[in-house]
Amino acid sequence: MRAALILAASTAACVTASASLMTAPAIGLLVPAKRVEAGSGTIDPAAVSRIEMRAKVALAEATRDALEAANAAPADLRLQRRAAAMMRSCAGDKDAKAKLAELAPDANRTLERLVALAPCPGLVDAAATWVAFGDNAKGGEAYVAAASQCDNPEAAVAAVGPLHAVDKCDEALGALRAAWPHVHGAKAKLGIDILDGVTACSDELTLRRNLAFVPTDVLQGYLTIVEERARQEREAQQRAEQQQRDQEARDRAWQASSQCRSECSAAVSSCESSCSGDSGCTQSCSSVGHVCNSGCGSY
Amino acid sequence: MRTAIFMIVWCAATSARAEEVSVVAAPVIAAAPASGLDPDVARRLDDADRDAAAVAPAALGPVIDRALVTFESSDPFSVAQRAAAKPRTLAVLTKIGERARSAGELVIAARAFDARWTLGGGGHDVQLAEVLTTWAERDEDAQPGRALYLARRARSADPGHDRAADLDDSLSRNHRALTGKLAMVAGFVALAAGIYAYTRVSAIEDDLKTHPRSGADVDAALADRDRYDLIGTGLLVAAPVISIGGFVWMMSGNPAYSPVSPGELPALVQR
Repeated sequence: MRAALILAASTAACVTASASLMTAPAIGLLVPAKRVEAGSGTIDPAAVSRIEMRAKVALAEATRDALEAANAAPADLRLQRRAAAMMRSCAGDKDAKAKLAELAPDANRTLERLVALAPCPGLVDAAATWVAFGDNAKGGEAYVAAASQCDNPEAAVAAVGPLHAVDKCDEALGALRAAWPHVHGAKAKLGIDILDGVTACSDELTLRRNLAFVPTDVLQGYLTIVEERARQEREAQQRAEQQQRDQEARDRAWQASSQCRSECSAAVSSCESSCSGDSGCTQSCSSVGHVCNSGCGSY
Repeated sequence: MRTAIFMIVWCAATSARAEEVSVVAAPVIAAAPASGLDPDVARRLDDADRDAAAVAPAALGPVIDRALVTFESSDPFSVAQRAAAKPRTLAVLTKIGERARSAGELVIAARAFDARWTLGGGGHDVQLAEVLTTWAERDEDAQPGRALYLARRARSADPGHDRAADLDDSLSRNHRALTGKLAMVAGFVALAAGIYAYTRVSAIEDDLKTHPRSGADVDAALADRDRYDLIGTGLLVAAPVISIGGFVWMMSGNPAYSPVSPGELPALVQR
């Protein structure tokens, strides 16, 4: 009888052990086999960098070809201007700029020919290109030349940035002063741009002297605009500072509240641990905890 | 209606921007000539066309790059001339692809046809599908992820391409799934058979306990019982081994890759 029981038990154990080991295969039978997900797939990083590099090389090659086309047709103003504009496209990208320098080392000659062919608008095109390539002095001077030779007040305004960058504000102020008479009625925006250029090239001491060429009524109007802008700037700055202060105060309050709650929680724990299971005592501790927490503020 | 008006206004605004390049303090520059192509763009295509027929097939890669400059450069002048340059560029790419393919330059042919396909708007392209499938078949064993990308791209170019479809299916699925599952089922059968053998052991013992037998019959029954016991034990041990083995076999067949392009493709990304 005993032997039969042992045999039955060992049989059951053997079957159970064997069957339990087959749980994973049983699940495996029910789960469908894995497939690679549908979709066109991903682009290899090598392909991504190739595509990015090709865009830069293509820009440099297109610019080199445009420069060659401009050289081949020196009388075609559009091709000269186009070549200058494409050079500026390259200037914005370090790699394309380097590649262009390698492909077309004499690109500067095209700009000089453009200026000689048609100073108006060649000077401005060349100026924009020199500035784009970091030659602010040459660019600024070309803008000044464009302003005087082409009666182009916008060029005088454009000269301010590059000349200010190379501490040649006097040249810019001269160009702006000379451009002022070209500002007529409807060109109020241009007039303000010119006066802004003067302001950019002046400090508090020299501003009024530099603006002496402006009629008094216009000057008063402009100074009102400047004051209004300064007021708006101050207000915007004050608003930003106030917002920052508010945020800091909120952060401090939150931290204080958090600290307070933490201390209340610790006090309640300490209180409860001294109750030794007395439910009345525990309840009192909990009540004290509620009172404590309510004094911690709403954060 | 409002959306349509917005789209018309937006298209008009963007097309006006694309036709001219503004310069501060100077008149705008026309982004494209009044008719045809700028001389350098036309010459680039002439060069590429001539080189496509002249240079050695293995050296056609740079010719593809040259033909695609107008489509890869982001400057507004190139962008404005893409539409006018497209028909000739497609013809040059076709010429390059066909020459490279007939010379066995699979990658160059694929690049040329792939660029043509992208420029053409991604329509039906049997030649591209054929070249990509051949490339995929070549790389199937060494680089299954790449081969799968190529097969799927081939199917995009030609959805009716049977070899590309077969390759896509073959590379996408687990080839050990069927044998693994059969092994698991065999394990369950072994478990059932083992349990049956143990029931036979119990039945023989019960029979011997309840019915008087001669000594020879008892010996024969005990021999049967031992045989069933041995078989049952063996099957109960073998059952999990076979099932788990099948499970592991099936799991090891799961594809451990995903479709990834080769470095040479896509040949062109239009911005």
